[in-house]
Amino acid sequence: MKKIILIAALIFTVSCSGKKGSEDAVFESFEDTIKAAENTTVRFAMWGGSSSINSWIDTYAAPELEKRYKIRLVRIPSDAAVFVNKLLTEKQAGRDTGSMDLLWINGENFKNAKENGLLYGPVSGSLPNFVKYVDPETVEYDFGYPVEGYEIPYGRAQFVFEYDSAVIKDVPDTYKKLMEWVKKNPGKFTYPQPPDFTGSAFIRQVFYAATGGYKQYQGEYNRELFEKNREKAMAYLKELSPRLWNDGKVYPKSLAALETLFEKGEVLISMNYNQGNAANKILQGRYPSTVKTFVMKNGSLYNTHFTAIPFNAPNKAGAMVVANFLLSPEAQLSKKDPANWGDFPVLEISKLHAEIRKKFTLLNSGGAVLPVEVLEKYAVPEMSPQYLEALEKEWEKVFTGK
Amino acid sequence: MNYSRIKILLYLLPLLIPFCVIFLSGIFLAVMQSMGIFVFSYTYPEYFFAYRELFSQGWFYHSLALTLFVSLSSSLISVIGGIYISYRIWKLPESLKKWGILTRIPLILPHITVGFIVILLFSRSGFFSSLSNFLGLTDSMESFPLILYSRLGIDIILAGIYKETPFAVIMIYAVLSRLDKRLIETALMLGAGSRQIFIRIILPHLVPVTGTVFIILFIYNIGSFEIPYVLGSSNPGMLSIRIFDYFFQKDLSMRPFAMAMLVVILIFSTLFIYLYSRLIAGVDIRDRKI
Amino acid sequence: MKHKIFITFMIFFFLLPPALLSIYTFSQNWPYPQLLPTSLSLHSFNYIISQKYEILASLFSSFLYSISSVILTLAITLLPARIFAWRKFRGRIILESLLITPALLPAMLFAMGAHYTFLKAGITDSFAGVVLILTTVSYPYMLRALTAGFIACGEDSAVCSRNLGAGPLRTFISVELPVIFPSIAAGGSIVFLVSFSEYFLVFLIGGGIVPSYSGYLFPFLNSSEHSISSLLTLIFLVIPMILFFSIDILLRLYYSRRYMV
Repeated sequence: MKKIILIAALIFTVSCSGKKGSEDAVFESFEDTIKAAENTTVRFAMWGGSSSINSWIDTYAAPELEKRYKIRLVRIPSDAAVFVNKLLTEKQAGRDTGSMDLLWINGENFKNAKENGLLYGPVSGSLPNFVKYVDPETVEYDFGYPVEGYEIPYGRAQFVFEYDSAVIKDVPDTYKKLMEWVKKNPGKFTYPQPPDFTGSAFIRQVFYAATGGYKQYQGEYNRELFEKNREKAMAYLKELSPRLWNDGKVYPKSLAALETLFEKGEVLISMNYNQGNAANKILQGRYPSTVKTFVMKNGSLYNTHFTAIPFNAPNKAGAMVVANFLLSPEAQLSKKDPANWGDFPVLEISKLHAEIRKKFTLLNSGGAVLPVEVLEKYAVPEMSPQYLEALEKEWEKVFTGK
Repeated sequence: MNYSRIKILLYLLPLLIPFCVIFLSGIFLAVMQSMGIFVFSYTYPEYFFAYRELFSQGWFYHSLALTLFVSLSSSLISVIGGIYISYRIWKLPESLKKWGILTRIPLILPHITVGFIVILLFSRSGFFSSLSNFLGLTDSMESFPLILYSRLGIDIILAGIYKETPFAVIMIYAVLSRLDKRLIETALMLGAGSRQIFIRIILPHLVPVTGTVFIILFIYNIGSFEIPYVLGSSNPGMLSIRIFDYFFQKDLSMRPFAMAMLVVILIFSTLFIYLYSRLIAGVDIRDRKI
Repeated sequence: MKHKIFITFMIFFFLLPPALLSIYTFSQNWPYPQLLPTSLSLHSFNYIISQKYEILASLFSSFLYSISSVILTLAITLLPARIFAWRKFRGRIILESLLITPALLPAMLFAMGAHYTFLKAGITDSFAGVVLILTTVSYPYMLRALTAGFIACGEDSAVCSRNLGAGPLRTFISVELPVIFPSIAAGGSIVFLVSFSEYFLVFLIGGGIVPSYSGYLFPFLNSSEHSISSLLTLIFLVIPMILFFSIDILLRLYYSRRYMV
C-alpha cells in the first residue's frame, strides 16, 4: 500500500512540476485558445444598470476585442441572481449548450453558482495576464468563500461615503463622529435596507467596528462568536435608527433610492461600494463638483469582483480570451479612469512594465477619489458568507420583525 | 342544448395543452420545491418544514393581512373608477370621444415606472413638496406630510389605482358600448332621470364584467411585486417582496420558503376564484332569460 | 361644459406622468425645492444615440414577439371562447375560472418549472419559446375578452345564418367576426402590452439570445439614472401608443360603416 502511495506521489509531483516548469507551455496553449476564439461571438452577461459601465464595454472593450482578436462581444444586460437561476435550471435539465459565455459575478451569487457546479473551471491559472500580473493570494477568497480558480478577477472596489464638502465641513469619519453628526442632523442620513448590496456592506462595517475589528471573523464561521458580538453592533444601529431619515421607520429600498435622496438633498451623506462613483457622477454633472468621499477610520471594506465562465458556455475559448483581455494592463487602466468607470485594478502594479506603471500612477482620478494610500490604510477584508447571512438575518429580525 | 363532451374537449384542446404542459408543470415543480424535493443539491429534514416554519412566524400573517388589504383597496377603487370613467366617456359626444385614448397611458407604463413616478411626485423632496413650498404652504422638506412608505401601503394603493383603472376602463367600456341604446331611449321616453338610468339599466348590465375585472385585479395584486419593490414599508411589508427576497437574494437552500409562500398565494387565489365562480354561477348572464 | 371639465381632468391626470418623464429626460440636477431642473443636459440623448442599434433591434424584436403572442393567443382561444359562451356543460364555470390563473399568479411560481419543461423540449433560447411562454401568461385576457364578445354576440345570428345555408366559415367571417372585432382588439391590446412589458420570463426563456426592449430598459429603471430611464420609457411608450391609435381609428372607421342598432 505504502509503495503505491509513494509511486502515485512521485508521478503527481513530476507531472505538477512539469506544468509549472515551462511557462511556455501555458502560453502555447493560450495561443491556441486565441486562435480558436477568432471570428466568434462572446456573450457577456452583466448588470446593465450603469450607463458608464455599459458605455465602457461598448465603446472600449468591444472594439478592442474586435481589433485584437476578431471577437464580437455581445453584452447581455442581466442581474446576477437572475442568470444564476437560469443556469441552475439548465443544469438540472441537462442543457449542455447554454446562451451565455461569460458572467460578471461575485459574492453570494458566486457561492450559489460554484456550490451547485454551475461554473467551468478552474480557469484563471490558464490566463497569461492572471499568471503574470495578479497576486494569487489577493484573490483566493471571494467574500470568504474559496475561489479555487473558478473566477477571474475583474476589478476591485472599496466602500466609501459621499458628501458635499460645501455643506459638511466636519467630516464624520469614525462611527462615534457619525453618531454625533446624526444626532445633530436628524433625518439627514440613512442606509439602504439589507440585503441590498450596499446596505449590507454598511452594517458589516459597523459590525467590525463595534465588535473589535475584522481579524476574528476571518476563516471558519464561529457561531458562538457571532452570538456573543451581535448585540454590540445591533445596539449601535438601534441607537442610530430614530435619528435616521423618516425616523428610521423605513429604509431606502435600494442604493438607487438612496442616491436619488442624496441628489435631491433629502439626505446629506451617501455611500457606495465603488470608490470612483462620486468622481464619475461629478463628471456627468449630476453631483456638484464640491462632492468628496471619505472612509471610516474604523475600517473600510474592500472586495474584488470577478468574471466567470458557465459550465455550459458555448464559446469557452472566446470567454477565456475576453476574461484575459479585461485583465490586461491596458484594459485595467482604461477602466480605472473615472471618465469611464473608475473601478480599481486587480493587478499588482509593481509587476507591470515601467511605462504602463507610470500611466497608472499618473492617472488623475479627480479630487473625489481618495488617494490609494489612504484607501489602503483603512481597508479591511470581507467576512465569510455565513457571518454575512447571519448578520443580515439579525438585522431583519431587529428592524423588520422577521 | 348539450354538446357531446368529446367535441367540447376537442375544441378546448388548443388551450388545455399549453395550460397543462407549461403552466401546471411549473406549479408542480413549485409545490415539490416547497416541500424540499427537487431543490438542486440540497436535502431537508422533513416535507413540510417550510410551511411549519412560516406559519409559526408572526410576520407571515402580518404580511398576508397587509397584502390582502392593499390588493382589496386597490382593486375596488380601480373598478369603481373604471365604471365612472367608462360611463363619462360613453356619454361624451362623438367628436370628443377620441380623448378616451388618454386612459391607455398608464396601461403602457411599466409598473416600476409608475412606482417611481409616485416617488418623484410625493416624496418630501419631490414635485408636490416643491410646489407646496413655492405656494408658501410648507417651508421645508420636513413640513411636507409623509405620504410614501406608509405602513398601510397607501402609496402602493395609489400607484396600483393609477395603473389598473385603465384596464378596468378597457374591459368595462367594451361591454358598455354594446349596451342597446334603445333601452336608454325607451327609459328616457318613459320619464326616467339619468340617475335612474344609471342605477337600473347601466349598472346591472356591467355587473358581470365588473366582477370579473375585480377578481382579476385582486388576484393579480396579491402576487405582484414590481410596485411594492419601490414603494411601501418593509415592516410588515407585502408578501410578494418577501418572496422575491427569498427567491433571489437569499441562499439557494432557502428556496423552499419562497415556494411555500408562493403556494400559499396559489391556494388563496384558487379559493377566491372558486368562491367567485360559485357566486356568479347563480347570476350568469347567459342563463338569464331576458 | 361638464364634458370639458372631465376632459381637462383626464388630460391632467393621465398626461402628468409622461410630462414628468419628459422633463426628467433633460434633467441633470433637480434638487428640492425647485419646480424645474436647475441644470439640463443631453447626456441621456447622447447615450441613446450611441446605443441606437441595440435599442432599435430590441424594440423590433419585442414588437415581433408581442404581435406573435397576440396571433397565437387568438388562435388558441377563439374556439374555446365560443364554447364557453354558447354551450352549457358541467364544470364550465370552474374550468373558465381556472383557465384565467396563468395571468394572475406571480410568474415566479411556475417560471422555473416551465423553464425546465422548455429545456427538455429544446425550445429555450429561441423566439418560439419566448412567444410560447408569453402566450401562456397572456391568453387569459384574450379568452376573457372573446368570451364576453361571443356572449354579447349571441348564438342566434349564427344559427340563423347557418339555417340560411351559409357554411361555418362564412358564418364566422360575415356574422360573428364583425361583432367580436372590438373584443379581439381589446384582448389583443392587453396581450400585446403584457408581452411587450414582460422582463423576467423573456430573459429566462429567451436567454438573452432573443433581444427584448424590456430587458434593456429594466436595469435602468432600478438605477438612479433617471434621465436615461425616462427617455427609454418614453421610447417604450411609442410602440403601444401607435398600436392603440391605429386600432382606435380602425374601430371607429369600422363602426361608422356598420352602424349597429
